[in-house]
Amino acid sequence: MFIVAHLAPSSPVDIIAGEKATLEEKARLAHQYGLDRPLYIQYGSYVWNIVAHGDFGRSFSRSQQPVTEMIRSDFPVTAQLALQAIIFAMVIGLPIGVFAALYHNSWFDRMAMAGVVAMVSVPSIVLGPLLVLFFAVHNRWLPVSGWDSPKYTILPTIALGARTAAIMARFMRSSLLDVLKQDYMRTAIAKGLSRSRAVWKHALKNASLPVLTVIGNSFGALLTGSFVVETIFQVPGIGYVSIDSITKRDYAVIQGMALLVALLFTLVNLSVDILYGVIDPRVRSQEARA
Amino acid sequence: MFEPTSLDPATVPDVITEEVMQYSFEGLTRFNDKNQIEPCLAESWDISPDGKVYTFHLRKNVKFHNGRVFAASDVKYSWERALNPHTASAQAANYLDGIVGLKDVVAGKSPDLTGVTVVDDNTLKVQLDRGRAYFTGMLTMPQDYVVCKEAVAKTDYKVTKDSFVGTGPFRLDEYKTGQQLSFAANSDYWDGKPGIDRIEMPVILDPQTAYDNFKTNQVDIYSHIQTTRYAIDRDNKTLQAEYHVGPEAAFSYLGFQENKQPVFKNADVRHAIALALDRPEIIRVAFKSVSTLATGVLPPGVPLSGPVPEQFSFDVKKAQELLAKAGYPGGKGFPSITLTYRQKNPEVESAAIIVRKNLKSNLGIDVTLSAREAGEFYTAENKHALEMWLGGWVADYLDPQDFLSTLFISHNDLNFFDYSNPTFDKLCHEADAITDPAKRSTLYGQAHALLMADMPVVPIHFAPRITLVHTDAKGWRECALYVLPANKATKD
Repeated sequence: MFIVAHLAPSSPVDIIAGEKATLEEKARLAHQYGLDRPLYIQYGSYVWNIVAHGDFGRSFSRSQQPVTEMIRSDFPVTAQLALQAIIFAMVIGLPIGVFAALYHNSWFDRMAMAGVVAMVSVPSIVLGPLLVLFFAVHNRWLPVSGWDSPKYTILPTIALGARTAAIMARFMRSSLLDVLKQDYMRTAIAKGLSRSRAVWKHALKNASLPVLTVIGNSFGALLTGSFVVETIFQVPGIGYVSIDSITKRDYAVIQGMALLVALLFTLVNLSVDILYGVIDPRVRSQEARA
Repeated sequence: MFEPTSLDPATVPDVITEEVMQYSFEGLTRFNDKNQIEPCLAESWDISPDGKVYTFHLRKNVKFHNGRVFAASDVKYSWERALNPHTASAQAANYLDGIVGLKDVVAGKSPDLTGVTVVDDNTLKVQLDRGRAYFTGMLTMPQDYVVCKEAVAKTDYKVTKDSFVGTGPFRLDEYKTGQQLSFAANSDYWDGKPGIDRIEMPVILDPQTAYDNFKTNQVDIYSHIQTTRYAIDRDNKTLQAEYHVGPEAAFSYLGFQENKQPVFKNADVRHAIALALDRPEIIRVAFKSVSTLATGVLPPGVPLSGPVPEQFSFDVKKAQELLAKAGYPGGKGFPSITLTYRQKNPEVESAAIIVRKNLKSNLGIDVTLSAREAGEFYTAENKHALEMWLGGWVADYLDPQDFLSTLFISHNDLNFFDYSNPTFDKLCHEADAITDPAKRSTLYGQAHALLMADMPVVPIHFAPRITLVHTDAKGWRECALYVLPANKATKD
């Protein structure tokens, strides 16, 4: 990532110097910030500062704000938005998927899946402005942008979580349909277990495993920020900061965010693996046997 | 508004950040809403007959936001700090250019700006290397603003949110990075307590989001609006009443780099291209008829510009004759040209497409379009690596020097075109130095006419400044450069 960022044309000096700075002035600034040193020296210095001082550098385009301070202030916002979006997705998507499977081929199932296809097809770059137009501009029920209080979080949460809700509904439906067709489900009902008990006690648990993977992957993607949603709604999270830093060649921020993303994905995948073992004892015993 | 790139006036790189600075910081002079220089921290000034020595008489009893009284030593300190390598300012040397001793401070050889003398608490003398009649215009730049030395001493001699202490009408109350800046009125402001107690500037990157915030009354002012937005709202009577459209000190052009592409050394070629461009079509299609046709490189609102030079109009027949005279009848033998423009600007992209169409159909010249990111574009401009490009120039201060001399004097750093005409140079050098406004105006007028006769650039349009202001926000002022601080504003 360090090398890729430096390979892109132009440099952060172009931004901080301004469009009217001469080549001489830019060279002077580059020298002052150490950006004219050989790449391997810059890399070594960067790694050393992280290891020895926990210093991830400073942002060129945000008044020299330390990257660690940016992460500390911006990541909790993205985490909150991602958490709200995943909860929204689960609350909306999972019940729809369950009832669509239980009432397979009914009007509810057909309408639900039509809605799901529509939601999956509408990207947040379209959904976001539509939500703003309806709820904020025409009806003034909610604010356009910002992150000051809970009401500001409603529209970004829906914009970010809607597509994930649709994906979860589809996965839940197909996973539950598979489980409902299994022999042990027919056997349980034949032995006198009520259908609802069979579904809630047995089917849902088994159907949730693939859905858990979707939840884990979705949460990881949401955590790493949605540039579109954060930009439309001016959410001060790491999503738009990351993309903004790329266009401004803000190396320290690019590198810091890349490290953060890598760490988050690792942690989320690990958590999903652990949860698998908790939900399905067979996974635990298979691993133990291995 | 976008996130300010810096909180230090000495390192401000763009006009949006500059507008933020003006709420809390000031310089010796400023522009008013009539585009005139007026006194600010300097009450008055005397200029020696040779134009080299300025004696500034500073206002008394002006206070910093921390209560201390401002003095002449603060000006000298602020300029020395701005020029000091530790501050890492790219442009302070430009906007204090000419002060004796500047080069040593910039090089780190001495912290003392020897050309600036503190005569007493309210008198400052500045010695220049030569007459620079535009010096008071340069002093309006943020790099020349006065900072509070005891405040910056606590933050490594750089202005941060913890040392954002100036003499301006508002003081910084809170800065939530990525979210909002909040300013509170300075009740001790020397020019009268502001009419509003508080100003909040939300950070909004997306233009549509900013516009929606304005429509839903979550912001009172939305500035730096694109022409396409204004064109969409032309039939909206309610919004039209809230639009403020005025001249901007800027012009857009088609530039030629004659050393990169030698075919442009031929004046007939440059004139042929100028005449073959349907500039009214560019303005109508790309800029929705909101911009006006450029009459030269000096836009309206720039004082001392002199008479408007002779105009040229769209004339395909004459263009073809000139190209044939240059040795390229019907474009035969003319090299293929790359036209470069900045990315992420649909209006400019649209203009580039029209330019390509005009040159191909009217002159038989093949043009390839190349869109580049901003940083890459400016670096290529600086390196004189662009053959032909759609560029623009926005003035820093309202003086013809900032257009004619800065851009077109031979070998100047920002003369991206490698234009060189000794007569033009002589006219500009003389106009830059003398202080008589009438003589300056005459000389700049002559230089402008000569420039347009040579045509190193084809001026295309003057874009207006467009701002949306709610009708209950009164007393809002602008000049041709930027929105002025809101100290005279009130809200119903």
